Amino acid sequence: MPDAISPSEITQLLHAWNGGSREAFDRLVPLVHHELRVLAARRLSREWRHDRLQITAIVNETYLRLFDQREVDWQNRGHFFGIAAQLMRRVLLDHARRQTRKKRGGVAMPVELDASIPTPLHGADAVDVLDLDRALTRLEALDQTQARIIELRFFGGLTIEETAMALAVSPATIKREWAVAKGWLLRELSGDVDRRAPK
Amino acid sequence: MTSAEYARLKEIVAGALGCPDADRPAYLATQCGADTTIRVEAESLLASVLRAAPLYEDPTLLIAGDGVTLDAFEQLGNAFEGTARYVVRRRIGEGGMGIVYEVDDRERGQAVALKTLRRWSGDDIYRLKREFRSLADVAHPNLVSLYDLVIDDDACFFTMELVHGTTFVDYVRQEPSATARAARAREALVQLIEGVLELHRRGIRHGDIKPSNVLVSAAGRVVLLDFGLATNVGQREFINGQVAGTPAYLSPEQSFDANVSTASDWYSVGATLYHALTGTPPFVGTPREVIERKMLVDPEPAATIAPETPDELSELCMALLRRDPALRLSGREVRARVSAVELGTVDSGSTVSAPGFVGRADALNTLRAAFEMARAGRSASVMVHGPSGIGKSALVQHFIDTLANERVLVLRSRCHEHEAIPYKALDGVIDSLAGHLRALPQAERVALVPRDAAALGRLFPVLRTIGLNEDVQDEADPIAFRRKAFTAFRALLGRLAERQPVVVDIDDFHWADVDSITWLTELLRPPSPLSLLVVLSFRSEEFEAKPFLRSVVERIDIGTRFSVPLFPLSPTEIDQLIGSLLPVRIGAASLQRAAIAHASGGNPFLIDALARDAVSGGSRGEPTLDEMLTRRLDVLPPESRAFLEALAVCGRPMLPARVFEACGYRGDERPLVARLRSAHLVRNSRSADRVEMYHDRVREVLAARVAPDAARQIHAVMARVLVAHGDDDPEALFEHHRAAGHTELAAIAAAAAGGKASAVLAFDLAVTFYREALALEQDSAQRARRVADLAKALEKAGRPIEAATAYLDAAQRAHGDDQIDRRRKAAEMLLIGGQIDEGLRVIEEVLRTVGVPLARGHATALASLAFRRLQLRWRGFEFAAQPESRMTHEDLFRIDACWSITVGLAMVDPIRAADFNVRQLLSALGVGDPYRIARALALEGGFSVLIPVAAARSPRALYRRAEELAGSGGQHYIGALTSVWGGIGAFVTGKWAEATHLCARAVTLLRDHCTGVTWELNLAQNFFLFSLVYQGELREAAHHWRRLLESARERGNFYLELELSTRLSLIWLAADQALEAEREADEAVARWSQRGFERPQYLRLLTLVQIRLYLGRAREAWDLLERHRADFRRPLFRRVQHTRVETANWRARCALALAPRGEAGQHLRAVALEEAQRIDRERMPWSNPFATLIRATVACQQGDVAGATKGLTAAIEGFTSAQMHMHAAACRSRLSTLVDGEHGETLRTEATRFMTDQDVRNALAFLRVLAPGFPE
Repeated sequence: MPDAISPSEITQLLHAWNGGSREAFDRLVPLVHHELRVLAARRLSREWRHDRLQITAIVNETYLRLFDQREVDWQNRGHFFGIAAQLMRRVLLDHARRQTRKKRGGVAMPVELDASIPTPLHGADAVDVLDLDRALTRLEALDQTQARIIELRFFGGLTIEETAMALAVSPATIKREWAVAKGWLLRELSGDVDRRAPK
Repeated sequence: MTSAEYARLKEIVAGALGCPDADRPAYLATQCGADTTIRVEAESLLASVLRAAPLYEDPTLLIAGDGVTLDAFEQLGNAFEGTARYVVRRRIGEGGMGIVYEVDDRERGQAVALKTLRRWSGDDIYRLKREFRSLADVAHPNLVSLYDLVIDDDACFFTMELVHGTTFVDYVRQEPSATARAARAREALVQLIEGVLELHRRGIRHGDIKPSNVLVSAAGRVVLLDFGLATNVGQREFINGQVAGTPAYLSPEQSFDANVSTASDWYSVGATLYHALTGTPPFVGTPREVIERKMLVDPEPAATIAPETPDELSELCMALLRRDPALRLSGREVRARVSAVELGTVDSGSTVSAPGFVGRADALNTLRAAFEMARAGRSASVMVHGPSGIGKSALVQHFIDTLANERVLVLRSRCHEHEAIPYKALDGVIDSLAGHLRALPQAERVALVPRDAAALGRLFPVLRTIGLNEDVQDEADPIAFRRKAFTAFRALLGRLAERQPVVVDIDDFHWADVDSITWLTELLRPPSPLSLLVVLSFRSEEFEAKPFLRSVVERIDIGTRFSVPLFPLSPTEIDQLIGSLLPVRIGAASLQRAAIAHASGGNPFLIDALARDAVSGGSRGEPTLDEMLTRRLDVLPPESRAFLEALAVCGRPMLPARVFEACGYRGDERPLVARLRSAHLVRNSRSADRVEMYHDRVREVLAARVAPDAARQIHAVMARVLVAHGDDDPEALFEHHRAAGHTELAAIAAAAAGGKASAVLAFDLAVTFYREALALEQDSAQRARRVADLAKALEKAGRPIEAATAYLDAAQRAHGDDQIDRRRKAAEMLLIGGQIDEGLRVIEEVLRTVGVPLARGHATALASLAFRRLQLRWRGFEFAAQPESRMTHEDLFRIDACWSITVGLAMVDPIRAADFNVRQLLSALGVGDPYRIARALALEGGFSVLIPVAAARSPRALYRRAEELAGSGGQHYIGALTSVWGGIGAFVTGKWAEATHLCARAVTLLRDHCTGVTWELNLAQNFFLFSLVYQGELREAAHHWRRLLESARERGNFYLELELSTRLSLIWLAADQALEAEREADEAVARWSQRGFERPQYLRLLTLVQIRLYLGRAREAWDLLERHRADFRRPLFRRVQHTRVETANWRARCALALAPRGEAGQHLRAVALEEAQRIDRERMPWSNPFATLIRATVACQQGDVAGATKGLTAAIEGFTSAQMHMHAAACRSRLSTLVDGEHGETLRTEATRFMTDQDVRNALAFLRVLAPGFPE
């Protein structure tokens, strides 16, 4: 299990994956997924009571825990956050689905997309993580790049520059795509009933 | 929509975004043409994109944790609309925790800040409350004052001091010049450090220090906000402020939760200082970048960014910002570094540091050793004692501080002279216990709370807040209730002690109360003492002056006892302490230091006071504490002085608001209290929200300064204020009313306090209050009632002689049946207490009124007994049960009067007692009262063994019948009676083990379920001990015996004292204290009113005989016995088998001890053999070996070694099978000198080991008592 692998070995895996090793990727993903789950579970468990939890802090912490920072270059970091964002989304969905089963109706797991708005997690600005996921899945069907950008930025906490590096496109392109993608997302999530009704 | 359609849409929208706003409609029209579907889509998406443009620029996905229920979000959505008390003025700010308002507090009459909270789970609310309380009593000028916490169904908020000010950074940076900025930074930093240190001292980590949480008022006062509340340890980094903002001020370790400690706060102080000095936080960037960078690199030195920054400030700043918390400056270092640069700019109150702690290494080692014992699962107690001001509290505080890093539960109390609440020494302990429990998660708490915890909640209401308030079955019997409560308390502490070491600390123990002490002693009583460390501190001068206290402390036989006497500090220590107190600039004046050292006499409290005096420019000579305090008080503002004087006069912890009000002031008392606190004049009390004088010495000096008239006035106003608020106890009201000279009100309050104490079973305290009430009460009807209350309380407190006096007094104030009944009670108390003559006189009067004669002599009584027993046999035990209402008052009274006599005479005159018991049995059968029949039957069972004359029934059948009749109401009491009398029966027939067992059972039943059972308990405890001694269990007997003897003396229980100090004199002798034994026996008999040669004199005689034998003065022993030979023929002695054996045995032993070898001794040996024959006649397994031993001794004296060896061997066998191991050991020892070789050696070793194990000090002398007449 993950414990048996040292940070520098994991870092080697990351390098190997970056160098094109599929095997390294296959070994890395469960490690990262496990670590994310453990951290998220701990944070979400009762003993870790708190009011709000920053998702990217978990990703970040996973990163800092798994890798030997001195040996990771910025490109490798981008790759890591690329898969971590995807995995984090999966972890959250699993959690939200469990919550839904428990709660039966109501909002399973409210999330907030922008902490700079001091509105608490309620009302119009709070989003159910399941809705967010559905919206992203719809966007994936329409525009994979935009969906990835959203995923990386929200679930991985990447900056524009880092996103550009992870997706190997120019920051200017990312900026443009990002602007439209978040507009699309806002419209999807802001309760336009017609669009959200299942077809 | 397809992906192709979306790609087109996205292109159109991106294009539109590139156009100036005004051109966009035209652009869209061109691009979409006639395709209205895409046009609508594009317009909608464009609008959304524009709307989203400012959003999510630094996306941070936040999710709610499980601790927050969904309802809480709804709750938060509703703005706070104010309440009747709090009227909203405006919204000041908001954050993740809630919204902050400025409100008018109508009750306080001032503006306060009000912060709304999210609704949390039950556990969270308890935790919040606890935290709030611990913070609410923080009165520090550099910490925001918290006021009220309100949690109910509609709202959840707390209020605090409203601080108007700028942030730390702005305050510093407002100054244009770098020099002025540095000066401001230093000045504000000093205060910030004081605030943080105060929090840390209380075990609170702030966790979120940042510029917006550090405000500076216009007057330059630094106030730290938002501490401790509404966060859980280790969770701080996810609270809104940081999540939403930047983690710029958080320590690197806080991003990881790893080893977050107080060092994290110092990092934040450093970051805030850095920002103030340089204009920017140490790191800037996205949250993640900041978190990462601060872990990987050090910030640029402040002096590099702002070159004009003084080096020492920049260095201090960088030392605070060290990445490794272990390398960061500690709180003390910070203060030392800052003080070095910046002393003297703050007001004089804070230039003297908190008193440091010096020396006392030995004392600390002892405490540590005792603690280690407790941790290892044993119980230990430490008595810390020394004169006032020597540093007892400081020592214990320091010791407890050293435990800070260990998982220890510390429960602390302090006793107050002027506080008379039930269980006052335990009050604080219970408070801290409640606090601890409240903080535990529900599930854990439930697991800890023992059965019957609700009873505990009844005695200590504070425990009800932790759910110990489920309905308790109302116990008719208060003693049983108290027992339950105690058992629950013990179980609770036991469970806690299994989880972690528990330290109980009680300060100023010299003011403790008896009831608390009883509980405390019981906690650690063998056989299964709790693994606790109990630390008791008391003043040596009080200890010397109060013999009672001394006896109490000695009785606290708590596990392994350590004594820690505190002496004046050594000259080096004095110097060290002065050094830690005085700033360098004053400290340099060595002359002054020498003066302080001399004047203090090495007393740390005086050193502290003198240092303060020196700082404020006190005199150069050697002032007294009185002068110094006077000087310090004179410079205080009048309101502070008034407050202090009122507090000193009250002499107990008070709610500051009440004192403030009593002084005639209105508004907020907190600033005043904070000032007095920092000047070390007052401190927060351990009982929650109260304050008290900083030291008892200060209180004494201050109280003495107040003129008597003024003091009266203070008490009068205080009483009025307390009554107006309806918030104080009768005990307190009594103190104030009495001191104010309101006799009438004081009498009422005292009676109420007495009733309250009785209700919680603190009978001794109840006695005190009833006496106070009596002394003050004028109204004769009220006085009569109080006397009756007093008599009852005394009876329940087990003080029979005092109770008798009170009953007689009460009888004089009553009429008719009441009067007679009280006289009967008085007689019973007198008899129980050992005032036999007086008791008989009173009871005779009583009997005359109901027509029952009292048999004069023993012979008459014996005849009467025989006659009545025959009558009983003829009559049988059948009866027709009647309800009590059908019985005549006279009948019942006659029965009860007989009962009183039976009880009173049972042990001193068993024949007459047995006679009266049969009489009451016959009457009860005639009347048909099952309870009274049962009671008499139980006693008859015992008497039939003791005085078998004409007794037919087997005692077992009597006991069984008694228990059948007892019914549910009296089952415990009747059960206890049959056990006691069964035990006595077993004792007189030599079944020691059975007697021990039955008496122990009776003790338990009586203690747990019965009240007012002094007599029954006396019997049960006595015979329990007697049987132990017969079995040779001297060590265990001694343990119980000492405690009982003390309590008997203290309570004026003459009977018990007599029995214990005569019958058990073997215990004295084992301890080689023959002289003490004699003095004790003399005193006990002298207190006894009966004259002539009655049982008391008989018991004393036997004691003296034993002592003479022990001392080797056989002639005196023999003479003593011979002088009373005639007396032994009286029925009182002849009729009791045990006494017959006893007298024969001692006479034989004395004869043998005295008999010389050869012809000259023949006569005495004949006497011994004659007595042996008498013993033979009794044919009891326990008495036979005595006769065997006597014959063996005679054989030995006659040189018949073979006969002696054989006899001793048989005696050993006989004693062993009768379980009389000490006697067997004595015979072994004697035998060992007659047989040679290995066998002799084995015998000697066995005997010696047994005696040593039982703590026999002088085996040689001891053998002279048990087996006299052998060559030594």
